[in-house]
Amino acid sequence: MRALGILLRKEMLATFGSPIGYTAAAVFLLVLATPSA
Amino acid sequence: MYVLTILLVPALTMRAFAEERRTDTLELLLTAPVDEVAIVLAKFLSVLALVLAMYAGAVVYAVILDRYGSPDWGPIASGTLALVCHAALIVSIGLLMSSLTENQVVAAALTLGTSLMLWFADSVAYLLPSPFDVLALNLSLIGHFKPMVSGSVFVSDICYFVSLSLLALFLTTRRLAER
Repeated sequence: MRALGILLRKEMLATFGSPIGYTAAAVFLLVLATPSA
Repeated sequence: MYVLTILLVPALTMRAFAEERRTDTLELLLTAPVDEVAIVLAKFLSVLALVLAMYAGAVVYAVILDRYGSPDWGPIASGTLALVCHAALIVSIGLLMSSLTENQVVAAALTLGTSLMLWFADSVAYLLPSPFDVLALNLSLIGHFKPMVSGSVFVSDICYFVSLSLLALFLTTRRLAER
């Protein structure tokens, strides 16, 4: 369980800190904020 | 939102195992004192958390609806559940495809293709002979997604999403274990 926690923390940092993550989130929020979406 | 999920999630999952394999860090990860299930679960939960964080922006709409009206919360809750189940399925398919190849673009294309095939499986059902048309209809993602979005939550729909997600995660674990 402790190993899973450490791995999860590592993966969270990698996923949330990746440029592709930022880009995908930005595209998603832009489309979400568009009135016709 | 679900169309965006199908388009964007392959970009998030493509690097999960393909990048580790390309940079030769997968061997390091596999020789660490953790089992493959923990590795797959950690990657699955982290990508799903990012997708759910993106969905959290839609809470604003619910707040505005609640402020200026009296919405029926049942369909909103079931629609949210449908989106979460849908995202979990696409993420698990993406992890499986990422574990199958070294190339990230191939992993993303395979995820997108598989998701679209699942999505439109019921469209080709009428072309298939008798036992396979029922199979195609029951495999259809949209056939299990639409009732939940409209407020009808069936156990069969939940089982569809959970079982397919678990199957994809299991196959990912087996793929890692065979290395």
